[in-house]
Amino acid sequence: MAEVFGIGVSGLRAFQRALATTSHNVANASTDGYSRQRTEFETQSPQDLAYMSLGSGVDVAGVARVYDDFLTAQVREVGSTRQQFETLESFAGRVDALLATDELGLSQPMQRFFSAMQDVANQPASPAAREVLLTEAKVLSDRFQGMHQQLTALDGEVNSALGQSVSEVNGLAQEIADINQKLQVMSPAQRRTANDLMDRRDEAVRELAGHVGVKTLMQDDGAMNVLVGSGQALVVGGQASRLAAVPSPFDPARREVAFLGPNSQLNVTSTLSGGRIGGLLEFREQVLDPTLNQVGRLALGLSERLNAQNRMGVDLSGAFGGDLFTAGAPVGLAHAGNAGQALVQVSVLDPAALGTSDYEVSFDGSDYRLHRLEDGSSQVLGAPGPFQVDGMELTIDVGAGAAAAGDRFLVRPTRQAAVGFDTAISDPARFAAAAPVLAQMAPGNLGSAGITPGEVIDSTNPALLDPIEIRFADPPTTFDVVDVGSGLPLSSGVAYTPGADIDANGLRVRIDGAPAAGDVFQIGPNSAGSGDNRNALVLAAVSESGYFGAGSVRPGEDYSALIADVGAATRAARNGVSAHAALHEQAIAARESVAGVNLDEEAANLLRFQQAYQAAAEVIGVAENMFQSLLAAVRR
Amino acid sequence: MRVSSQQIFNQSLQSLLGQQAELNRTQAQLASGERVLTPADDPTAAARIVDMDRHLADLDQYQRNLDVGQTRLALEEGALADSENLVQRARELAVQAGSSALSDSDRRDLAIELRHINEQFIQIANSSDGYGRYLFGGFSDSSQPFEQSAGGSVVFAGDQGRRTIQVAPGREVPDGDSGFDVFMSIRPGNGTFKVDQDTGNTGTGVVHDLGVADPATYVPHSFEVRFTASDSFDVVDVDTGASVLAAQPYQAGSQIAFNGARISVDGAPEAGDVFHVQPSRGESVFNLVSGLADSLEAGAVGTVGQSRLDQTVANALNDLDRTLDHLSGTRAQVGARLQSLDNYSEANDVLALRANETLSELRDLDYAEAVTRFTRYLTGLEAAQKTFAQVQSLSLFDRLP
Repeated sequence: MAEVFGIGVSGLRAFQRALATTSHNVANASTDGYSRQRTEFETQSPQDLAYMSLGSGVDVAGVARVYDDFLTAQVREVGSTRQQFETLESFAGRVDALLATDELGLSQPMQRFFSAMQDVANQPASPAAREVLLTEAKVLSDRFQGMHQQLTALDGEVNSALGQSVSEVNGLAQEIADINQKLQVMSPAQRRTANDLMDRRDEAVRELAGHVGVKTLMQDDGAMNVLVGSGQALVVGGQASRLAAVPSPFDPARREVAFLGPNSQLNVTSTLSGGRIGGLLEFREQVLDPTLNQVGRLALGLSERLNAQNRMGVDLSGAFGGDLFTAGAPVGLAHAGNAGQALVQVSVLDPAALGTSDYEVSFDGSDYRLHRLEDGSSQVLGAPGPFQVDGMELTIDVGAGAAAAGDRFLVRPTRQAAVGFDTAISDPARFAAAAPVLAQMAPGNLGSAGITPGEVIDSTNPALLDPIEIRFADPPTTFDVVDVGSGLPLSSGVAYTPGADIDANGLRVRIDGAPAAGDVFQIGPNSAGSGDNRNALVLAAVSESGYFGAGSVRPGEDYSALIADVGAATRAARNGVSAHAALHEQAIAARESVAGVNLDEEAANLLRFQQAYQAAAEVIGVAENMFQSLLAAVRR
Repeated sequence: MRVSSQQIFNQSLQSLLGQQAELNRTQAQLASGERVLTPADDPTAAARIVDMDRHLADLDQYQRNLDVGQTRLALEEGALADSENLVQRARELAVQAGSSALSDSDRRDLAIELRHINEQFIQIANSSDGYGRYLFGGFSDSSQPFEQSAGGSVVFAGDQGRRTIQVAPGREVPDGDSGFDVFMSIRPGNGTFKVDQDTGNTGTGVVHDLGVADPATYVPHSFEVRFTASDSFDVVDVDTGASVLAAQPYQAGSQIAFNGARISVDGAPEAGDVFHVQPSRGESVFNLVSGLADSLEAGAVGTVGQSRLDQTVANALNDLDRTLDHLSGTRAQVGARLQSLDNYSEANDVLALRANETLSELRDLDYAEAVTRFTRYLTGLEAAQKTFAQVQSLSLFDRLP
């Protein structure tokens, strides 16, 4: 009878527990990371009699969470990659839109500048056409600067997003360490049932993986160790380390991620991947930097090319043209940790040969070595410089002190070019539409030969504007080139070949046809206020001539290639997002199918345990009845 | 497979949101009419769209250049046509002046008209290009190119520059000619050499019928045909002083050949008469006309004077014909350029049409397809919404007592 009573009570207790667990499941049906729990029953130790053993009721063996380590890890890992792609896509998409929008991009203002140049070529002396050209030049400058500023603003956003993620990583790491600590002090039996604590830790790790890719390792004492980067222990047992967003050693304006050890800090930027931080870093490296560099290269190339051509011509006042545009200078940055005092100075020799990569220069104590960051290739430069490589010249400036072994420098040939792109003239008359020289035939020539108006091949030749004459001898198979001022021949007895280049004093003419003996061709300075448009035509043709990529790519093509590049990168990220979103959904579905709470199931359990509870209560009632029957029998 | 309640909710919601996003994108496409909303939608097409836009803007600019060129060339053609008319009139006057029936005062009247023609000529040569610059000034088109100097001769102050305009990639067409080439480069005589009487001639010999018999042996030197008697002459190379022909018998109207050239002398020259044979150098049309006027004003006295006049008129007629040839040749060139501008304009139109077609293929939305897509997503969204509501309303708890 006592046994029946005891068994009934054990049932009541067990089903009470089960009902509580079911209620707990129902209550946490929407809790992130919650794994459903199940009350595990076992029979109580049976009563051993000599000839048999009798059951003595039920015991609650424990409350287990229904859980699959592998599935949880998969949700975390795929989620981490998905987060990386989503971050990359959202940032890259903004660069993409920036480049292709008519109101923000460079394609239209470039086009309009060259169109305005053609209009000046049509009416070289027209103040109105020149004024329009100057305005378009300013619009182009503004657009280059605006483009750079927008891209730099994105860089700033990356910096602050990195900072936010790092501080969230630190908070989560601390939370994981705290939970570890709580678990470590528990007895193994307690630990087995610390379901909610372990769910909370898994959830914290999942959130952490959304910020940066992690690896986890379980310890025997129930603690979970979390590693980031190339194996830096972010959490070991109850101890959490910290990450920090620190200034880049090359460029203080840029944030990188450091792992703060007990006594030292380690820059782990290059080893981080996955999560938001991984996406931010990938965006910066794969999209933002190349875009900035390529826009810069376009700015640099355009300004150099147009300036060089403008210097070849003369403006409305008859003076030689100067620079039309300025562009930001190349940058050489020393690593903050350099032991030596040397600096690297960079100048551009040939913008057409420039790539879009940044470079790192390192010094091993005897030789300098150049690493191209874009493709990872490297070459030994030697010492002490200057070095000419990839269209630029690197000079090691040891004015403040020599370089020490291990010193590093970052070289950015085109990064600042676009922000420094500005219109160098304010007077529209300064556009050098005319060529400085004009070749004409002398009145009274007997032959039928004609001469080209002349082109400048070296505008720095001091004698370029000196009047010269080409005089044909008798018979007119040879000619002399004579400086009119001094009367001295520059060259004499030159054999005449129709249509051949005749170069003198930095200019070039061609004579074609049949000259007569004594025929003279005069070459002298062009007049001021000239209606000559020869140089304007060449300036306008800059848009049509291949220049970049060693002379194969036109400026406009260079830009549309950039749009295609960034578009392709964004598209790849978008594809990555949709692929990993699908994988992530699948992983979540798989985890949920094991660990998720199904309310219908819980409702059924509720019913089941309620009924069992009621039955157990009945058992106690029966025991009570039996007892009352016994008492009644004895009392009588 | 077991499904959690959270999962049922999430999955329905995801599908709802997914349909909504696609619907939104399709709606944006329909609103803009563009297939490629951001370069990432189709990077290659996006880059080509940018290239095509630039190509079209280039073609637009070439058309503007062509318009400028056409304006200038049409003006030049008009100026040349006017010039031809003036030369025609001058020629008529020269023919009249040759008549022996005219008195000196009649000839002076002709001279007055010739001077008037010359002024008109200068006016034409100084005409504007429609943009406030001088049409025939060469590169120095800001100041008046043709000035009449104090001595009456016309000086060219412009230069020989000839501007070109760009009409297609790498193609340039001159949009004018320098006044030097148009008005200052008439080659008198036969274009190779010219002849004239010496002003001191006392006979009535007139030289004409110029020709180059053998261009290979022709040397551009000055020669003189000197009559040693009324029936005998020498030919001397003035530049070298060498005698070319000596003591040749003269017969009126017969050909004289030397230096690869041939001329005829007519009439009755006297001993000591000289005829000059000089290389033909570029001469200005103004000087040709004013030279004729000068001769007409000088008048003709006696048979010798008449023969001088005959020579002048014969030379003037010849030179005016050459001027006419020169002007109409230039005009034909201008016409050819206008024609080529037309051709370029048409070619640019065709290119623009093709570029627009390509652009449309790259950029434009297929409305039928997009509307179908829109309807499909709309239906999908409605279905997702309905199932969401229904699935969420299902719960065993509702059935519990």
